[in-house]
Amino acid sequence: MNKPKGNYQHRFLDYHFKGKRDGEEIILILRRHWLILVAKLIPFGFFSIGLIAIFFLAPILTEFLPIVIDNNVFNVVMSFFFMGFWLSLFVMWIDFYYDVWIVTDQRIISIEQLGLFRREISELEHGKIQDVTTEIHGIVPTLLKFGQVYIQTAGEKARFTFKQVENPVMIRSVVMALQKNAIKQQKREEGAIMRGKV
Amino acid sequence: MINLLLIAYFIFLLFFFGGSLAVVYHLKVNKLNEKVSTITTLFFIVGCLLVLTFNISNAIQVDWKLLSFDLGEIPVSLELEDSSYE
Repeated sequence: MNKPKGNYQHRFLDYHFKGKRDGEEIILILRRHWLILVAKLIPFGFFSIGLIAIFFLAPILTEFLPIVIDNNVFNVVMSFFFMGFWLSLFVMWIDFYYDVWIVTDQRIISIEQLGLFRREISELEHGKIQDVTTEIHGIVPTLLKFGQVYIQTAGEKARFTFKQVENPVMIRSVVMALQKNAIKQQKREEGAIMRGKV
Repeated sequence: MINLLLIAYFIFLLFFFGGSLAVVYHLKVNKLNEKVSTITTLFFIVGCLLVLTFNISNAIQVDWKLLSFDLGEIPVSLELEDSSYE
């Protein structure tokens, strides 16, 4: 099968996913833009600064309080906050990192990680793609070149959406090229069947 | 003697272990790239061990007996002075 030209294929040689077919080549791995992760991390940053400030200022502040708080009990309580913070940070990372759209030379796989215990996987063969639309909405997405890519399908799932991905215009052209290749391939196979070669 | 705080402490610890296992499971089972998965898992485990060490080292020093209470010491009156069954 002819593949769209580009220098991206070598980037994904080390990448694998469950259900990868023999000889299937990953062309793109798409995630939400890094700014989305940063935006989610900002409240966490403030929370961690608050925790650290409380931890270091507590000995000074307790002098002004009418009750005596045991230092070790305070540290145990604080350590639970740190533990919760560390866990939540990685739950957020999993939510970001495993929310992924994989474009291979044969199909598109959408993996949506919703928290720790919910995961939705759907796939779409290139031949079923009908139309690809991109949308960049807002000042920040325009400046940083990220937005949505909508893929209209003839499959079970009516529309695939790549959410807040970087460079949607490039992605659209890659997907369209793959769709054209798939349709050419289908026609070739149909022609071969008609001629009685298969 | 019931030490509710100690029970709460172990429940919190159990939640932390459960959560950590779930995170490691996701990082290892749903991996896309071996290198990224290994580095992230190691980073997570090191962080977990650090906070756990800090937690346990402080928990050992806490005098849990002072924080416990005896249910038998709570005065309970069973005299039904205003009972309508009299």
